[in-house]
Amino acid sequence: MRNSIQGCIHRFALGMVIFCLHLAAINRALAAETKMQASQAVWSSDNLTTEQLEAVIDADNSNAQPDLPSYRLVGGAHFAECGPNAASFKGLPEKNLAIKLVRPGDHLRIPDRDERGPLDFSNGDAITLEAWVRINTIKNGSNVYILGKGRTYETQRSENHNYALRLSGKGGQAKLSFLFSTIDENGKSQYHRWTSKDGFVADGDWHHVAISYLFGKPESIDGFVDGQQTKGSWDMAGATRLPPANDNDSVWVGSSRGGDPSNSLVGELDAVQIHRQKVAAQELISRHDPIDYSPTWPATADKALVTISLFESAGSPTTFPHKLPEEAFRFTASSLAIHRLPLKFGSGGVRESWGGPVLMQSFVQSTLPAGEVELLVRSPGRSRLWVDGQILGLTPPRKLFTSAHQPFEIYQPDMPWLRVPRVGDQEVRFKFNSPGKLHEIVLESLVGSSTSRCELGETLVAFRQGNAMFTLLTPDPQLAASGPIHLVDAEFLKYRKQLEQQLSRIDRQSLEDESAKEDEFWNQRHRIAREVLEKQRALVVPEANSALKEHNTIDRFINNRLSAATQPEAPQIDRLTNDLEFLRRTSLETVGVPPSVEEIEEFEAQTAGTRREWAIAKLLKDERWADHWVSYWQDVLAENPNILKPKLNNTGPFRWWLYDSLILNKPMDRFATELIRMEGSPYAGAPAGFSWATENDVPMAEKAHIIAGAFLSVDMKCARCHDAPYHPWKQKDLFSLGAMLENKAIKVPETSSVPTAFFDRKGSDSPIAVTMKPGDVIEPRWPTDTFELQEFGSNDVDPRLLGRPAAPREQLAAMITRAENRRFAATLVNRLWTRLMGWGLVDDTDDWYEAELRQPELIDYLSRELIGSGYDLKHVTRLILQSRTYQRQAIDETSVKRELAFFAPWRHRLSAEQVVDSMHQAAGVAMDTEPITFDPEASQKIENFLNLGEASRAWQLTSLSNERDRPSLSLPKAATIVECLEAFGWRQSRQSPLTHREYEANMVQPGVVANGALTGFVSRLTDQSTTTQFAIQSQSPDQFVERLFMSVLTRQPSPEERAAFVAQLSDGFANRLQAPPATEKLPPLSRGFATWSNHFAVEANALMRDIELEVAAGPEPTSRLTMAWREKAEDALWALVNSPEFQFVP
Amino acid sequence: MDRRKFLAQSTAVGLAASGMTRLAAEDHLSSLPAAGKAEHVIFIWLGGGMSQIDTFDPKQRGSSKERKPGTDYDVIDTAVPGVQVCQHLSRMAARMDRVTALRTVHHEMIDEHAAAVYWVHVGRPVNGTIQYPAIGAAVAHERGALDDSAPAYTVIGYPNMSRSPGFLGAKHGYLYLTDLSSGPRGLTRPDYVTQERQFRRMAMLDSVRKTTLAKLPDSKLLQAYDEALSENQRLAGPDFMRVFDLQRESSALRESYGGEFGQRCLLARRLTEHGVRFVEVSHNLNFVNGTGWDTHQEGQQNQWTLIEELDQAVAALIDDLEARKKLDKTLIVIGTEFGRPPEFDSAGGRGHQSRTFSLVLAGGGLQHRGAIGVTDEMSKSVVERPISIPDFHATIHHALGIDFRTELYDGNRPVPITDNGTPVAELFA
Repeated sequence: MRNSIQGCIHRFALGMVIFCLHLAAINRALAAETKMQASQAVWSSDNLTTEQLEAVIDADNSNAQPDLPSYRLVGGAHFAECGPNAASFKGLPEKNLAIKLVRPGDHLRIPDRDERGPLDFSNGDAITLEAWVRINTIKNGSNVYILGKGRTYETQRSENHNYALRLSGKGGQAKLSFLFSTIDENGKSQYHRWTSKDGFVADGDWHHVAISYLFGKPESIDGFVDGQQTKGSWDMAGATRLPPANDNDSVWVGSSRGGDPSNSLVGELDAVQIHRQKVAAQELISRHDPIDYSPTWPATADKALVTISLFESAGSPTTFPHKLPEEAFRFTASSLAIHRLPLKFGSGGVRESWGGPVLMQSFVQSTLPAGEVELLVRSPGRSRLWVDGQILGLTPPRKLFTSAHQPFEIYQPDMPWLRVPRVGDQEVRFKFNSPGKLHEIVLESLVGSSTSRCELGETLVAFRQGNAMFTLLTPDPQLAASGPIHLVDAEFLKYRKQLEQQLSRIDRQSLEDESAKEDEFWNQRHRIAREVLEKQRALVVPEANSALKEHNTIDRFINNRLSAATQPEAPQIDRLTNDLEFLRRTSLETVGVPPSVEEIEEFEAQTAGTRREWAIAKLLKDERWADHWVSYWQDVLAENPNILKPKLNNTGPFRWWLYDSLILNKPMDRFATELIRMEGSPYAGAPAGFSWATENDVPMAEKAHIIAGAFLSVDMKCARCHDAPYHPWKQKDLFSLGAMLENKAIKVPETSSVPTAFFDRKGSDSPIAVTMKPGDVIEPRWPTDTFELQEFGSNDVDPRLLGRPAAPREQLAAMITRAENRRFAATLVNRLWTRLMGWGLVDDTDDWYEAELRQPELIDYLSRELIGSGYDLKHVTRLILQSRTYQRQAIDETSVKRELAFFAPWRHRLSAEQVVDSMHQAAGVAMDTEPITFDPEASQKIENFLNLGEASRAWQLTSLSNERDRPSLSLPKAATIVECLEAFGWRQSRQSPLTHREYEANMVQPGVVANGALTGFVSRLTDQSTTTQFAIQSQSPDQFVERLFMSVLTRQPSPEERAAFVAQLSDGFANRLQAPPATEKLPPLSRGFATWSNHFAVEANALMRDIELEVAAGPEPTSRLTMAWREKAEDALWALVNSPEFQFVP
Repeated sequence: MDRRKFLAQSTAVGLAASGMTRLAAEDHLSSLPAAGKAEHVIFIWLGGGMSQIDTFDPKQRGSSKERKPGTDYDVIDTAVPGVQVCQHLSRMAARMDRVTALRTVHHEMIDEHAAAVYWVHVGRPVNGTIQYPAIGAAVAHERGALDDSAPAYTVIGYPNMSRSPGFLGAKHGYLYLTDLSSGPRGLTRPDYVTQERQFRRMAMLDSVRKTTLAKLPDSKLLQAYDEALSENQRLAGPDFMRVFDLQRESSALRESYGGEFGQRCLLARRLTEHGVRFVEVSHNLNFVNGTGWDTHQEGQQNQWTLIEELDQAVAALIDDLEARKKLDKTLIVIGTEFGRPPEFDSAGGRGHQSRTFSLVLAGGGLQHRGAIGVTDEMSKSVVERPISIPDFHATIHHALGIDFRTELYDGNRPVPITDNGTPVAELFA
């Protein structure tokens, strides 16, 4: 076609087509005469270097031939050898130049000589626009130009769009957008836009796009993407029969509107063509003839395992890519069944989201039995199954529902024990005749998209012959080791648990590897910090007080604070806890739960005198440390995710970053810096989630307030809307910090000010003042002049402290965490001290303005220890736990003289999370919740629906957000935990930071423990509960009672308690054991799932109401104990969990 | 002279400040009739957004089947001349002299249920750092329970943030039950705990309580929790739990209230009788029409069943309270997060509308007049007498004799109980 040229005016050497503009018809007159055989001008260039090409273009310009528009490259636009080629597409050359647009605004300009030239179109003219395009990304809502005539802003008129072909970012895809403007009889200008239904994913691969159209006939529009015709629709002013506007404005390729970045394409273009005819559909379809890949085993993979390769941004959610992107991750499993993707970590070890759609290739070599085999494939997304290099079949494209009106469906298994697929998983079965040999089988699955969550449901392949039960596809060596895994609940769940452990190890390795990449920077910073410390005046440690005992330096400071008058009374309260009390306290304060019976026995097996040291060392290594501390930082940093549509001050679930940081015991300066940097994926749980404050008019002012309180003990809450009445700082100071976090100036909105009506009413009584007006612009600045922050260091930051380019945010992080800023370390040690001791070295943890520093020297000592240890909070924790002060018996705040009150820990209540976790720990049962999401099928946008997974510790819960009051949206198991947490002061919604929760006893608390379904769950003696094991193994009621007391209260029963409990448990003890039933119970009936997409269905409501009742009735009890005695044992456990003693740290 | 000083001085010398809106409002306040004497609130919540044009603010007849905008039902006269409601509110129509539909309530949140639910419950748009208390918690905080043996604030529905006490703290939270069969959470023993088991449990628990109290006789903290435990047991005892036993009412009365929702209203009446100050009753049964009051698409077709259910229950509640001479002491409120537009969607349902919608008050000793506020011919916008959500809150407080200008405290930070709301004066004699 490219050679069939009539009336060729200008032509370069032919051959390899690099970049061409096809201009059908030299002029309108000619075009009108010969519509379908219009003359064409083909520009092509062959064997020319870029310089030569440009020279020719320049020459062309100077020739100024009347009918041939010449072109010019503007900005960084240039030619490069990167066009689509024969390696990927049939019919294309081996090597191919393309135009490269490097920066927004780069474009190629083709001037138009008149209004009736070859580039000008009007009613009755046919047009075809086509191009090859390659882009790496497209923002949702943006429209980038492939080419457009008019609207370049070169001329006065901007509403002169003769035609344009653009790419429109929608739902993570690039759709076609054809646009032109018209002017009606009243001179009113309007835009007409046609947007295609289908598009392509901006995946850095070449795509072919085309539209053809006959002006004046809106129904004539045809669109093509990658060789597929696509439907579309007209919008803005809709379809029109009016002629397109036109003047002699230029054609721009790659940009528009004067180079507006939001309309500019950054990437490559090739074979951009304008035809003055409607090119036949078949021809446009045939342009894109890709060479498909077929999956091949990765060279280094172990064929004894299932190898799983992941590729990001692959194809669309419904169509497999023609070419594999670069492999993003590889892991292995023992069978072809995978329930989740491994986590993805980015720089410094923060979580990232997988860029969907993810293509997952699972390779397995295994021997199938001879004869007809049925292969069962389950996966939520589109999948295809390859056997020995041939595609055996595909599963249907994924159905994504945004509405809640889908029917409620129940999967009817065709055999009684078959595991029911997870909601959203699609199942297809294929028949295959095997000669009974070793087959190479590959499952390819498309997972998620750029907008829907990348979740796997239970992606698997199983097989069977005849009516046998389906068996997971497993490599022969693995099968020999494990035996067949049937697709029944018990066997599958056991496999899944094992795979989960393996995935956890993989995740941990990724976290450590990514995190380690920044270790050197932090080591360097800690060396600098130590240098700063060394320059400071030496600390004076008091002499030992001969009258009072001590364990370490901390005690010297504490002992020497007592006045001569009080000191003689001190020995009365200088009583150490006993070993078991110490163990319970320290266990609760470090890992959040009391010790198990095994842990107690191990502790007691240590030599007396070394036990405490042993326990401290062991507990500080225990990873449950992270579980215990996440909830603290969730409160202090106002972590506030919502599983359903963000509301006021919602953040991303950065709990996962908190957890990862605590697991690695990240230095606290690094912890604060990572938080302030707000990097990673906000949805996946990275600190980026901290950057959100949805519905908040100035999120960064909110964040500045949180950071100032958390790390500097500066309370700027009031400054959010007006100057702080009880502090010296002004609203502007907070906004200056906010602007630093924003990396640019911020404007004060109307809603962040106090309305004048307030002052009108208050008159001169008002305690507050407003010195900023709505609309004021506040620059990023460390507010040292009017602000307490001047004590924390100057405006100059040592550049060695910056781990990222020197943006205001990075500087803020360095200013807060530098060693010169002693307030940072002091704030942290006070937070730690307060949490462990129940009283603070400074009382108001978040607000030190005019606060009494109770022990400034001790704060100084602990701060130096923190800085000197490289900001290791566990190091300081160890010092405190070792101190005699910590190891003394707890006192009630009011029970002793004020001065003596700071000589021992204060008795304090368990936090809500400790109550819930300790109940599980004491009973020896694992937490059990649904996946915490309203969209278990991962069908909805991640912006609106999070999945926080099944909770294993209390901090993983969140608001269950059933503002809609719909039973079908209840999460009955999670609700039992939330109910308990909330009664004890946990917040469903953490809109604002909080350090000290309310701990006043109220009657709801014992009520929830007495009658709540959670207590019913933990106190039930099931086959899984440790208490059941005690009940079976104990030789006497007495021994059972002892174990129960140890397990729940970490102590022996008193004689009275022993008598009371044994009296209840003796009867029936001797005959309590019974044989498990000989016959297996029938599996439960399949009854469907309630999920967002079907939650309006009557059956979804009914199902959840049934489940609520089942949860209230409690789990299935063990059959190994007689009911009569089991209930007594459960009552004993209930009594201990309900005891007031259980609610306190000893 | 700045504006503030000017205003302060001008009021001091009693100048009539023409054109000063705030002063005009102050004048209005000084002429506001005395506060009401209601003792209780029964706050009925219609989750999803009640369609005002199909209920209390009917307009010209439309048709969901033909997608013709307008009221989907026939319109009937009421006991108040000139005030009409839809045909499915026939019982309430006869009692509209004891009812007032506030037809011009409005706010600015339409796209998100939860945010609108929150707005109507806490009485203000949320844009700051404060978690505000729900109206029920604010009322309970100001006036407490009438009787020590009862909680001040009770919810029959799911617990959620919009119902929470916010900064007032957990002790101003609510007792709740999600349905009538399972009883109040935290007070109702699970079914499997027989009396025998309960005795056994208490025998063992008592021995531990005694041991711990003996070991730590001086610990006020421990004692406080121990006392809370005793208090809970007292409330979980038969006296209060009897309130939940609807079988104690005559079958004729129970039947007059209708189905599950009616029974909830009956329970609400019993709770107020036993000293509960504020009861929120959720009408949540989306079994009835598939969508509850969120009548998008097909949900519209059976909306009338919801309306009739509401009609029967509220009419029965009015009659029942009246018979007990408690109607003047009990303010009935019908709340919802927003209304719905006159137009229909492609499947004959309705979208959301917050520019104007109806909230309803009944009883409570107010000067009822059937309806207040006028909307345009399609109930799409306010024509006369706009009523803000803060005004709605101030009206409830004023009816209960709570100073609607009072300030609550979030720590040491004063927070006005309503966001500059003014009671609807016409309702007060």
